[in-house]
This record gives sequence, structure tokens and C-alpha cells, in this order.
Amino acid sequence: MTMRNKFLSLLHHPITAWAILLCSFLLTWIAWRISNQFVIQRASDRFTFHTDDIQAAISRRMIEYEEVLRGGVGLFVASEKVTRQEWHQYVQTLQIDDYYPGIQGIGFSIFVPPEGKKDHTLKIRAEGFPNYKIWPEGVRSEYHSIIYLEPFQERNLRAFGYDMYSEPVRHAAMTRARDTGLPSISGIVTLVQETETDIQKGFLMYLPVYRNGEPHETLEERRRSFVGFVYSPFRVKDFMHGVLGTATAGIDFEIFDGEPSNQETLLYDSNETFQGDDPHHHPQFSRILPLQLKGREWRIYYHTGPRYIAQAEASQPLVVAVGGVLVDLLLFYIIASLGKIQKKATIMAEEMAAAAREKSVALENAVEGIVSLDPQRRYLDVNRAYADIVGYLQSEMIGKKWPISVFPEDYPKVEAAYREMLAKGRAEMEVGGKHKDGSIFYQHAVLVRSSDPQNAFVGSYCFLKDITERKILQEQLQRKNKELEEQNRQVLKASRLKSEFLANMSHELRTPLNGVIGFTEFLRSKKPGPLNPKQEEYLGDILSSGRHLLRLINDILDLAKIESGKMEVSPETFSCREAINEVCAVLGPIARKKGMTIETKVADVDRVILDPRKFRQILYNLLSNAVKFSHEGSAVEVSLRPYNGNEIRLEVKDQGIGIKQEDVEAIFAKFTQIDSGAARYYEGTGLGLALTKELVELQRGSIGVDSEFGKGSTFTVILPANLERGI
Amino acid sequence: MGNRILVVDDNPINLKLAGDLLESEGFKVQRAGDAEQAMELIGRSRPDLILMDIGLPGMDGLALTRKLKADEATRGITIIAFTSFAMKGDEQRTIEAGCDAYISKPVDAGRLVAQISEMLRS
Repeated sequence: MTMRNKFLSLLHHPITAWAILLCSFLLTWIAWRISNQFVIQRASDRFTFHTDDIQAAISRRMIEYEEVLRGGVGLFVASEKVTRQEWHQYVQTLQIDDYYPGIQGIGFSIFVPPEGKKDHTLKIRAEGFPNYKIWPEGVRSEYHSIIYLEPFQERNLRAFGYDMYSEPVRHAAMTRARDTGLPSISGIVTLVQETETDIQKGFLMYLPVYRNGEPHETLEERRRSFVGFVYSPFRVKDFMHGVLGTATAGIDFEIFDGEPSNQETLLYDSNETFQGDDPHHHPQFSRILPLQLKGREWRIYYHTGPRYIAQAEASQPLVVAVGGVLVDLLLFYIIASLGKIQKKATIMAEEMAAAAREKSVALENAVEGIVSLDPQRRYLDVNRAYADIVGYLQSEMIGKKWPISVFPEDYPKVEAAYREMLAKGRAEMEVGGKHKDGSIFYQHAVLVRSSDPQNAFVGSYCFLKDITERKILQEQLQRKNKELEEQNRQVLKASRLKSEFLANMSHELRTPLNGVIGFTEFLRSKKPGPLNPKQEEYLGDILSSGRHLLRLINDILDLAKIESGKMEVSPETFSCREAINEVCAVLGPIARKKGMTIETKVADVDRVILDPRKFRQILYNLLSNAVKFSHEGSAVEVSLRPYNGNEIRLEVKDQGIGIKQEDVEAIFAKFTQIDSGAARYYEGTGLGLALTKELVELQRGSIGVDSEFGKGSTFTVILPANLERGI
Repeated sequence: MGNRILVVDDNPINLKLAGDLLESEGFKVQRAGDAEQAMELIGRSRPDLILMDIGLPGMDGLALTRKLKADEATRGITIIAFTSFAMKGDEQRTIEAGCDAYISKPVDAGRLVAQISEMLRS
């Protein structure tokens, strides 16, 4: 078995399909896993990237805002005094609405010791704000009042005069800023700017302002030279909105001021649905990042939304899985089909092989010789019977040109048969051949064309039968036939010679008879001299015997003429009525001697075309017989009438002795008179009816007799009456 | 009567019968056994009628008939073929040879005489 066949047989094994299905499922599963992981990994990376981005954006924005406040501090540092107007201009220059979204305002809160509170209030009231006061009311160790807050309008107006230091959260951030000289961010507050609606959490950023020219390196110095804060309040939602825009790429996050634990510390919730307490909240990705701000640490809890991984992306592994499974099933189907087809093919091949085996057994043991030939007429297959007929071994013949053993003179027959087979599909031939042992045999071969389904010639079959025995018998038969023919010829020749002999003999016999009859008549005429009665009687006897002999000779002569083919028929037109009268006239005297009457009935016919001599002869024979074989005084009837259009029917009816039924056949035979006794009594040649029959048949007529023994006979002759001349 | 008839027949009995029969009827009869004799007799005295047998030794009756009918001198002699050849075509052959009538043997004496008398009259 070659490698390829091994592979194919393995491929066609039924287990293979299942094994491959299993493997391919495994592969598909792995592919699905990898795809899944890849998708998750990518989402995770994206998540990390986006959260880092958000983180950075918040930090950056904080720094930017810090810088804005530093600008405000710078303004104070650079001037003796910053007026309300100057502050207004500074903030206006910043165009915070455009460039710093989320910033609520930029303000300045001045430090007011308790002893300067009154002066301070008066001073600000003097600037055109008569209702100005530091609020909330109450006595505290120190006061801080928001005196500038630009843009000075709307919500910001509400913060005017507010003492942020009075509120603990702000207080902490303010103290830290004053004491460190660094920017400081407060914890979560509700800004005083908040109205009743859309209350947001907020935070504030403070930068300390120290008196110009005074040192503020130490805590002491900083507390001593402290003037106020440049600060900004931030509404946290607005702030975040400014930072992020709206693009958070499916990521939610919550900002906690401090520990990410509860609503208390929650500063900002990007989707306003804090899920920290929700036990079912299991985001796909999440992380908590700390954000170091000035003086505070925010913790930001990032987590993904419910459909962070986009549908298309999420379905990628599913596509891989489903596609893979489909391909697996297809593969399984194909391989299983291959197996099935292979199995079917194997079964078919086995069946065909079995059929072929049976066929070959049948062929091998067939009684007839059978061979198959290729298109080049070479033996492909030879069965035993064929080999036996031609005497060669089967193995000797394979590949040899067909036919292996045929007489050279039979080759044209072989070629003709082969061509006929090619043209018509089938041909037969009988040819002789030489057996290998030298003996002669004859074969009857049937050639049959073999065609493929497209009717193309693919070879032929030759079925052979040994017909040697039949052939030999046939040849013997043919030889015998030839001999018989020869004998027949001899017999015919002899018969003709006999007839010629008879004809000659009758002539030779007539010549002396001529003398006998002639002289007898001469003497009876008494011309040579007188005769006594006895002499006259004896001369009568001689004459009678001579005439009988003459008639006998004439009949023999006629029969001989007919048999030797010398009797010719000479039809001519004549009156049959007259002919009948003539014959009756000849026989009339004899009949009258016996007291008999001859009646003639001729109906509707007169002139006919016949041989008149033979017609007369036939009628004469029949009528003379009728007279001869009738009792004295009886009647004979001759009738003639047309028959069947072209024919005439002649009947001679007597009341004579009749013929026995069993003798009817015999009366037409030569030299037969039925009753030997009658023959003695009725003088006759015994040739009359035989001759009559010959004469009738010579003219293609027929003769028959209807007779009752002892009562009479009716002879009927039917003759074609208008024969043409020469026939 | 007194007409001269030559009977030619190689059979002496038949020759005698025909001769005697005709003589008894009053004819002058000459007899010849063969063609040669017949020619000699014809040369000596011309007969009025010849009763000619056909089957003669040597020159047969037909040849003799043809010869006589070819000769101006003998053409007028009536020749009756008188033969026992009764085969079909025999009569035809004799007529073709030049015979004036055909009578087959054996013949009724009366009929022979009657026919000869009639032939001579015409």
C-alpha cells in the first residue's frame, strides 16, 4: 500500500470523521478563547488608557486653575493695592467662560481681624454696597470676607461678604494654605452660590496672599504677613464637564474625597448613579486611582458601563465560535460523506467483482466457445470451450490476432463478417479451420459489437459453435443429393429414351399392321375373289384383332408422346357443338347396335379456343367407355356448359356398371381395367382413361368421376376454354 | 379411270397391298421400292399421282418429293404422303416438302381410294 493509499484509507475510516470533528471543536474552542481574551485584553488596555487619560486631564486642569489663581496672587504682589475695578479687569481678561470652563468664579477673600471689622464694613459699604456685612453673624477670633468675586453677578453675588473661615471644611483648607503658603484644595462643600435647584457639590481652591515686602518663610512670618486668599469655588459637575467634555468612552467613574466608601465622601459621579452599595455591581473592568492634589488626595473609582465592549467587538469570539463550529460540521460532513461514499464504492466494487466472478465462471464453463476481442481484434479473454474447439491453450491465444485458425480461403468471409458486425452490431459466419492437432473443424461464429454507453466501439465478442459434425452431415447430404440428382437425370433420360423407343416401335409396329388390316379389308371387299361365309367370318375376326392392336399401338404412341414431351397443344377456335356431334356420329352406330341412345345437351356455349383434335379425342374416349361399359338399352348423356367464366364443363353420364369407390383412383392408371372379368368381357386397351387424363392435364384442365357401383358413372372434365395460342 | 399411279414403299407387303388395291380399283399402278427406282420409273413414264412412303432407305420420301417438285417436268405430279409416321408435325413436314396431301397408315381401303380419286379429279 502506498503512502497515499494509506492516507486515503485512514481518511475514509468512520472513526476519522469523529476524531476530526473533536479536534476541530477543540481548535474552535481554543480560537474562541483566544479571541475572547484578545477582545478583553484590548478592552482592558483601552480602559487603562482612557482612565489614565481622564486622570491626566483632571490633574492638568487643576494645574491650569491653580495657575489662574497664581495670576490673581501675582496681581496683588505686583500692586500696592488691588481695586475692585482692577480685579474685575483681571478676571475679565482671563475670559474664564471660554478658556476655563467649570470655574465658578475667581475671588478674593480678605483677612479681617476682629478689631478691624467695623472699619472694614464701613469701607466696603462706602464703595457703593450699603448692605454689605460679613456673614454669618457672630463673634469669631478672626474674620475672612469675600470682597471680590468676579464675575460679580448672579450666584456669585450671594457669596459677597461670606466668611468662609467660619465653615470647618473651608476653614481647614484656608488654614493649610495660609500656613504653608501653598495652594490648597478644600474638601467637599456646598457652595453658598447654590440656589434651590441643581444643587451640586463643590470644592474650593485657595492661594494665600501675603503683604508685599514682608518675609513669609516661616509659619510665624506667614501668619503675620497674611492678607487674604485668592480663591476659586468649583461646582464639581461643571468642573468635570469642563475637564472631560462628554467623551468618557463608556467609562463611569466616581471621585471620592478621601476613602471611596459612601455618599459622604462622594464628590462626583459621572453618571450620577453611584453603585458602590449595589451588591450586583460587578463591572467588567474597574480600578481606583489616587489623585494627589494640593493638600488633598482624591480617589477616583473607574469602572466600565454595562456595554463597555461594543456589540460588534463582543460578538467577535461568537463569530469565531459559530463560524468555527459551522466549518467543523461541514468538515465532519464531508469526511463522513467521503467515508460513506468510499464504503458504498467498496460495496459496489465488491458486488461488481462478484458479478464479474460469476460471469467469468459462466463464460469459462459455457458450452459454446466465447471470446472477447479488443478493438484491434486481439483475443482478450478466451473460455475453455473456445480453446477446445480450436485446440490452442487459452494462454496461447491471449493477445493474438483473431481468428487464430481459419482456412485461408475463408478469410474473405471473416473480413466480411467483421465489417458487418462493425456496421450492424451483429454478424454470423460459418468457416472452416484447422485444429492445432491438424484436424479440420467447422465453426459457426456469431460476432457481437461491444459498445460503451456513448456507443463507441470498444471491442467485440465472438461466440463459437463447433459445427463439424453438422457440416460433415451436410456435405454427405449434399453429395447424396448430387448423386440423386444424377440418378434422377439418368432416370429421366431413360424415360425419354423409353418414350422415343415406344414412339419408334409403334411406327414400326404399324407398318406390318397396315399390311394385315389392309389385306384383310381388301379380301373382305371380295375384289380379289369370292369368299365362303366361313372365310368371311374369319377375315372379320382378323380385322377386329388388327384394329384392336392398332388402337393399342395408337394409345401407347400418344402416351409416349405426352411423356416424352412431344405432344403439343394447338388451340384454335372451333365449334364444340359440332365436335360433339361428330364424335356422337362416329360412336352412334356402335351404340345403336346395343340398343342404346346418346343424348347431347349443349347450353350457352359454342365456339371455344381449344385443341379441337384433343377435345374430340377426350370426348371420344369417355363416350366410347360409357357405351362400352353400359348395359344394352340404357342411355348415355353428354352435356357441355360454361363453367367459372373461362372454362367449360363436359359431362358424360352413363347407366353402366359403375366404379367402386376404392377403385376410383386406379381407373386413371395405365394398363388398368378394374374388373378382370369385365376386361375379358369388355374389350379395351386399359390405356384410354390414363391417356384422357394426360390429355386433359396437358391442357391444364381437370378430370374427375362420380360413380355409384352398379348404377352408373359421371365423368366430368373441366377445361380452360380460351387458351391463347402457343400455350 | 386408267390414271397412272406410282406407289413408292420400301415395305414390299405394303407396296403390294397398295398396288393391288389400286389396281383392283382400275388404276394403272407402278411400284417402286426406293427413291432411285421411283425416279427411274418416273423418267420412263410420267405418273399422274405418286403415293409416297416417307421412310425410305437412302433418299427418303421427303427428299424425293422436294426433288420432284423442284423439277419443272415433274412438278405437276400429285404427291400424296402415305406414311405410318403419325407423330405431330409429320403432316406439316410433308406439306412443307411439297406433298399435296397426307394420309397416315393404316388406312381404310375405301377411304384411300376415295381420296385418290378425288385428288385426280381436281
